[in-house]
Amino acid sequence: MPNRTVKIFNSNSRRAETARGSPSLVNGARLRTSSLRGSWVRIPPPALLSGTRDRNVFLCITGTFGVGLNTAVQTFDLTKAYGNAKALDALNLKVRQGEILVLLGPNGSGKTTFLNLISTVLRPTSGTATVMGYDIVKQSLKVRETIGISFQEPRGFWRHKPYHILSFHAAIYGLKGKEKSEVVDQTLKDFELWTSRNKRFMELSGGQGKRLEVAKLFVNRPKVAVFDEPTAMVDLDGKRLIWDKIRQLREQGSTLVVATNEVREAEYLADRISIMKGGKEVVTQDLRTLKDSISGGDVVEVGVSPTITSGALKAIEEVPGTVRVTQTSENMLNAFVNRSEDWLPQMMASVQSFGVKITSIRVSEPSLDDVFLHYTGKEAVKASA
Amino acid sequence: MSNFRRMLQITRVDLSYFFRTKWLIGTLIGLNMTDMLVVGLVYKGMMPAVVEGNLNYFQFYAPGVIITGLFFASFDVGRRVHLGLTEGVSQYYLTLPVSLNEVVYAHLLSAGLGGAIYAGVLTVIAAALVPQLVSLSTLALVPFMFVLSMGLAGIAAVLNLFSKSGDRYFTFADGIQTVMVSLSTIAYPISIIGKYLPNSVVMLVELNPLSQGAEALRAIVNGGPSSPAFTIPSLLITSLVLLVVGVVSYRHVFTKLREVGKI
Repeated sequence: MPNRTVKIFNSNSRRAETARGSPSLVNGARLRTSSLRGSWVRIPPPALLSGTRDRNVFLCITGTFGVGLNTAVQTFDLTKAYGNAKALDALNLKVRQGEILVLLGPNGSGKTTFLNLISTVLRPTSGTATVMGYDIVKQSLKVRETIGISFQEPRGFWRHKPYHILSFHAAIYGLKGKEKSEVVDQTLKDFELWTSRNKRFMELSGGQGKRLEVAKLFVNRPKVAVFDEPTAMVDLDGKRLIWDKIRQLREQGSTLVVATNEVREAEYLADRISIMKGGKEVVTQDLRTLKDSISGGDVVEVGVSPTITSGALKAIEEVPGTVRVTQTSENMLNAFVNRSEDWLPQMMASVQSFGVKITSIRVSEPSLDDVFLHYTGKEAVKASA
Repeated sequence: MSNFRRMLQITRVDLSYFFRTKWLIGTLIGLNMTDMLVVGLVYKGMMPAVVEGNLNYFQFYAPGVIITGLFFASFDVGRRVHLGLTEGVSQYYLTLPVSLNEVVYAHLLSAGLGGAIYAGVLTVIAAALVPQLVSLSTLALVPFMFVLSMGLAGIAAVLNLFSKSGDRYFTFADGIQTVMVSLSTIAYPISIIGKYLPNSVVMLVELNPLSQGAEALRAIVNGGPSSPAFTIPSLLITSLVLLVVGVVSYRHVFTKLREVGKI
C-alpha cells in the first residue's frame, strides 16, 4: 500500500510536523515519526488516521484528536460530580484495543458512572475521554456509533417482546430485511431466549432480562462494548454462557470493558483488571502482576526433617523475596514471600548446608480476593461478600 | 443508516407502544364512543333546537369528541416518556447513534402520528352518523390535525419536565386534560360560554387549541367557516407555539437526564 505524507500538529512541540504514513486496514494512515511518540496531535480534517499493532506505529488518530497506539478508550481527568459528591474523580485510564478490561470495585466506586460517561449516557462535569479517538463531549454521535453498552438493569418497555427489542436495536444499526431477521433469530438462539421471544419484557425472569440486555450488543457487535455487571441476577449456566459470549466478542475484534464486583467474573474474563475505589483508579494491571504486587502474597508451607534449626530458619529469612517466616511446629514453617517460583530454588539451596531435609512444600498464591482486599480495604469485604 | 431513519425507528417503536397498550386503547375508544353516541345522541334529543349554524347537537358534538380523542392520544406521549425515563429506555436511547434532538423529534412525531391516526379512526366512526365528514376537506384537514397533535404533545412535555414521580405526573395530566376539555368549545358553543363566563375566560376558550381543532372540523360539517376567530392559521400558530414549547421541554428533560442520570 502506498505511503503518504500527512501534516499534523504536534501538541508537545507546539508546531506543525510532517509524518509519513501508509493506509492501514482501518482507515487513513500509519504514522512513522518517532519524535511524536506519546504526544497529542491535531490533524486537519478531512485527514482521518488510524494506528495498527505495528510496533513502529505509535499514534492512533481519528478526527481531530489523537490517542496512543492501540488505545480504544482513554480518559483525561474524567470527573463526574453530583453536587459536592464526586462519583468519578479525575480518572485517567486507558483501555487497549482488543483487550477485556475488567473494572473491579465495591459499590459506589464509580464503575457504572465511568461506563455511562464513555457511552455518552452521562456528560462529564470536567475532563473528557476518547473512544476510538472520538471525544465523548464534542463527538458524542461518533462515539455512539462506535460503542455499545449493556446496562446493569435490563432496559426495555414492559410490553415489548425480546424479538421486537432486538429487531429495533438491529434496525437502528442499519440491519434490515432478511439479514436483520437472521441476526436477531441467531442472537435469540445463542442467548437461549428463542422460546421466550414472544413473551413480553415484563414477563421475562431476571436472568432472561439480563441475557436480553447483553444480547443487544451481539446484534451490532460494536468496536467497543461495555458491560455493567453482565451476570448479575443470572444463574451459573447463564453466567458461563454470557462469559463465553463476551470472550467470543473479543476474539472477533471488539474491545471490552466489563464492570463487576464479582471477583470470579473478573478472574475469568480479564486481560487486565482495574481496581477502583472512591471514584478513582487504584491500580490497573494484568492478574499475574496484580498478584505479584502484593508483598508476601505467596505463602509457602515448608515441612522439614528432622527439625528446623535456628541456623536454617535464619537462612530462610535471608533468602531474597522473603517477607516474613512463621514457625508453626518444630518441623513446619510458613514463609510469606514474593514470587515463590523465584524464591523456592534459592531457599532449597540455602537450607541444604544445615543438614535439613525438606519433606514437603505447598505453595498458595494470593487469590484475586486477596488482591481486591489489599487494594480496596474494608469496602472489599462488603463487595465480595 | 441515516440519522433520519434512526429517528423514524424510535418514532415507530414509541408509536407501537401506544397501540400495543390495549387496555388504554380500549378505554379511550370506550370513553369516546360513549361520549359521542350516548351524550351526543341524548343531548340531540333533549335539545331539538339548532345549536349553532345548521348543526344539531350530535353534529356539533361529534367533531369535539374527535378532537378530544386526538388530544388524549397525543397526550399519551407524556406517559410513554415518563415510563421511558423510569424504566431506563430513555437512557438506552441516549446510547444509540442518534442525537438528543432526534430523540426529541421522534417522540413528538410519534405523538403527532398517534393523535392523527386515533382521530382518523374516530372520524371514520363519526362519519357513519355525520356524512358531511366524508369529504375532501376532511382529508385536507389531516395534516393540520397532525400538527395540532404534535402541538398538544408539547403540553405533555411540560408535564414531563416538572413531574418527577409517576403519581404527580398522572394527577397533573388528569387535571390538565379536564381543564382543557372544560374550557373549550368541545361541548358548548362559544356563544353559550360567552353568556355565562367572563370575557377573559372566553378568550382562553378561543385560544384553546382543542376549541380551534373542533371548530375547524365543525366548519367542514357546517359547510364553511363557523367563526372567523377559529381559522386554520390560528390553529397552526397555536400548534406551532406549543410544538416549540414541547421541543424545548423535551430537550431540557433529556439534557437533564444526561447531566444527572435520572429525572
